[in-house]
Amino acid sequence: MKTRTIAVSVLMTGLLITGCADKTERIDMNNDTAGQVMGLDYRDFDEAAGKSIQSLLKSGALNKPDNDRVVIAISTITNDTMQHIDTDQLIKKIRVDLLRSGRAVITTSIGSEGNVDAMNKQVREISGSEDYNQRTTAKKGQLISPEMSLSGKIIQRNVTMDDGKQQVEYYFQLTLTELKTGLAWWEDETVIGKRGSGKSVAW
Amino acid sequence: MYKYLISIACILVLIGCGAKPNVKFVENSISSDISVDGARERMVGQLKEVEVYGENKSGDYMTFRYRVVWKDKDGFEVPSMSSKWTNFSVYKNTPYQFSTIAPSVNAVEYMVYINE
Repeated sequence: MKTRTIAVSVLMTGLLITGCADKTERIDMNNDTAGQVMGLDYRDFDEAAGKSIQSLLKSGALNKPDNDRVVIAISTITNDTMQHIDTDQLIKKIRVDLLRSGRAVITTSIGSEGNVDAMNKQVREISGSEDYNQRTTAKKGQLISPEMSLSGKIIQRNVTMDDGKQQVEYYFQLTLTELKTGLAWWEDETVIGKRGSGKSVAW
Repeated sequence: MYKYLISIACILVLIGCGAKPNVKFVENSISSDISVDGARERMVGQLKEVEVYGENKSGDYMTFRYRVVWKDKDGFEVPSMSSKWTNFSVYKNTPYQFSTIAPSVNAVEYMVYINE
């Protein structure tokens, strides 16, 4: 009898907890009106990437006289914030839109860690192997050298306000350098600021 | 004489109504706060750049948002970051403008949506 009472109690408690639990909702990524967070979320990366790509295309830095595409290598994108950010969250969006623009193409044969496809090297090691049809292997001198390099930095600055609130400033800085001359042909900075409770943690 | 006046009036009405066919308010209620006076275009290399301009008619500093949908010559949407909402702010009783550039050489048509 006692065992049965305990079993019923456990069952009832379980049902109660399940019933009270918040339902998981899917985010509408196109119209997310939920409150802001002190850290960086996907909306901030969307905004920074969107403004950067617009600025880059408007600058004309990718316009070649023959309307050919500019070959770009992805250089170092430094995360100088207190958060664990994969900088690809920003760069991938820019890469996708650059490729779609028809004005640039990204090389994965050279660049910073994470932006190089190791297969570029491996495929050249099979050149001369009898296992492979040699007409289909990559030959020497076929890789295209980058003309420009995209580098950048994401900076975080925390400020405590007089009223005890916390202000967090994020700076998304990008530079496009012409590799032949070393001249920066385009630079841009997007600043996103957030202000919230001093108890909020932005990392 | 009346015929001429009516013709001129009709032309003026048509011009007034047809000046910004590529810009649309999502909520008509904001038309009492801001106006869209036009959209000018130019080419940056092979890409079309568009600048929408108008005025904040209200006596308040206001924030709105816009998104731009680009289409190719066949009417198919060209996906890009510019199709996401972007905020823009306008000072009271002051002109404003924002610009956007085509995401691709294939993007030739556009529609700008403005919302609060």
